[in-house]
Amino acid sequence: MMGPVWEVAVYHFKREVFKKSYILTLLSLPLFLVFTIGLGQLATSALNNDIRIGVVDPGGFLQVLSIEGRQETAEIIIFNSKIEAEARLRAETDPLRVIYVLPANYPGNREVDMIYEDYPPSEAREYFSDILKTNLLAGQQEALRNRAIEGPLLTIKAISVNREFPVNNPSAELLIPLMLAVIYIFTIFPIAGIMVGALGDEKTNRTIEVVITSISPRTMISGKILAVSAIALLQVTIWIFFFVGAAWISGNWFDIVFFQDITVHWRDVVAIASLALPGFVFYGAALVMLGSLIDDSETLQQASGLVLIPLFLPIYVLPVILDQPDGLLAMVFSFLPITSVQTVGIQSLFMEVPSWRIATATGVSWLISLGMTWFAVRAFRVGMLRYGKRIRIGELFNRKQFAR
Amino acid sequence: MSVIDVSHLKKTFGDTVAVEDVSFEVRPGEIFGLLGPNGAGKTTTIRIALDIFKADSGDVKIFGGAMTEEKKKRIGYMPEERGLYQDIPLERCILYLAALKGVRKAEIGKRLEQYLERFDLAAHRKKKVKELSKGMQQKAQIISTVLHDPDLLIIDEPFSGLDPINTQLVRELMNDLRDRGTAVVMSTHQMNLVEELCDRIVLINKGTNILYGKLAEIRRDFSTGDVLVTTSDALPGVPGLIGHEHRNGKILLHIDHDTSPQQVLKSLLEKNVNIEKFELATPSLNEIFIQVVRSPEAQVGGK
Repeated sequence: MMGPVWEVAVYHFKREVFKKSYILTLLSLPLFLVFTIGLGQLATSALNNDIRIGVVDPGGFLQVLSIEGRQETAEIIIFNSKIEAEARLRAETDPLRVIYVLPANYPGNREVDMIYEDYPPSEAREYFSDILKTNLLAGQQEALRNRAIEGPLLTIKAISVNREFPVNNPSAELLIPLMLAVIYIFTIFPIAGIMVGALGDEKTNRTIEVVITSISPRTMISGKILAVSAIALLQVTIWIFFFVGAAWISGNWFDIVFFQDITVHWRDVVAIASLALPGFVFYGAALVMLGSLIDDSETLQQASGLVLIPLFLPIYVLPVILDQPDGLLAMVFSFLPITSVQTVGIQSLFMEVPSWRIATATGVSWLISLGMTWFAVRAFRVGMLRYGKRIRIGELFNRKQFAR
Repeated sequence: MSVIDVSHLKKTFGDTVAVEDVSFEVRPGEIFGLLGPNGAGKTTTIRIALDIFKADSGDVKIFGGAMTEEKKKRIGYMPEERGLYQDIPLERCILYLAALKGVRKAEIGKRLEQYLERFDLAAHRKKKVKELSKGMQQKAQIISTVLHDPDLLIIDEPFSGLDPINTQLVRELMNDLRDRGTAVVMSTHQMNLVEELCDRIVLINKGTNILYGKLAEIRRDFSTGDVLVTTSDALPGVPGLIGHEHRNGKILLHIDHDTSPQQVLKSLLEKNVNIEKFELATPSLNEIFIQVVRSPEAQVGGK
């Protein structure tokens, strides 16, 4: 037979996950991404199809009008006369986006005039710049030419740590921990809503009074936190499956190199997962405590926003963490259940966070989270039926309130 | 052994004294009335007894000792502010609350069926609780309170929102439970139902006991010695009679303290008065309630 904690957890889990609002939340992020990326792709392809660059090149300098191994993002049309090109720029049908005028002595002075009516998109400017470089480097070896066109490559390598982060071209696998941390943040918000909503409901319809005469407050709170954590895990799992599927389709069906041959660093994934669990418990307990102390559901909703602010602490101090991913602040944040997942997600871009530190952080996070749960149970015990009566903090520490 | 034994309870919330000094015991197989005006401390007393609140001082014994998780399973509690999950089907709600009492559908399925039929809710079992009328929700709450067959039932205003037919159903249920040995603690303001159902009562005012004991004895204690006579004859003057008044087709005779009802009856019979009914005029619980709550002793905190 199921224990009462399990009974409460299963009830709340089933009650929440089959609600339309939860299913919508579950689908919101994937749908949002599909919509945004799809719209972006559509816009880009529409833009690319439309870009025509006119080049006035009386000296006949441009001999190569495409770059080997690269998709043409614009159509280049050569004009002998500037007047003819300008007429095309102002034409109503089939107009040019921009005209580049190369003087006859271009190889000597290396100056180009740009004529436009609306400032041209970066795709057009970058493409012409690369065409120009290709022609300037026409006599060089292919490898040298390609490297010069590629431009400077910046790789961040933190001193005394063991990971490199290529800024221009980060690999998908390096971004996985950060992505997991983002999913974690996006998960906490709806979960907070569910927790606050359930508590507010039970207080408003007075079900709480019936429930706690059947089971202990500890059992009730533990069951709720377990349910909320399971709901969070379900959400995370579904989102991860979605991202994995989307990455696989992008890499294999659409041949996007970024998503091909991704090697998952399971160590990082395990680290994030082991820190996320106490994180969920911590936030669940914090919200229970808040729900126990506040009667009014509107105030409760507002106050829950305050509880969630620490989620963004690592983002607020991002420059400091980026500057010193292994510094004191990052280390302290990685030990706290309110910030550990996000911090380790950022740190993992630049370093392999040592196992001992992950293990310690997980232990510390669990200790703090269980402490918070204990405190939440106390707050619930004191505040659960004190409608409209103020609760003094001292009462939470009054032993008499909890003695058998 | 008492089912509930409450002794000198005191509970304050900040500067507010909710319960000052309340004591009573509840025995198996009785219906016990926990009475008092609004704000007297009844609900706080119940919550302390159920271990929802901790008393500042005093002692509570449930089934002979401190409350435990096992003992909670032997208790059915229906608070005044009803507590059902509103957005789930009725049957699921009742079964979940029963599961928290440690009983499963397999064990109580038949009993649930019987209760749903008895309270005319069988056809509504799949409806969400919020779709039910107030009376239906009240009946559902009662079912959920008794479904696990508790040894102690604590119910606050069980008849509120019920029509006469459903009131009768609940009345019968409470009598059934008493006959089966269940201790029933009932808090209500409907004094006629207390008179009908309760064996013993405690009346609390301003957090303090002001009346406690068997209902019949309390009513007898509050009797003035006046008598009610039913007769079609004109009433002659008899020794010891200091006045009379007509009340609901009867005549209430006020008798002086030195004269007994038997002496008055004898005098009336000697004067050939045709007496259909002669009875002691005991005050109703409603009258006693008003009298003691308004008494000067009660105004300063009970006696």
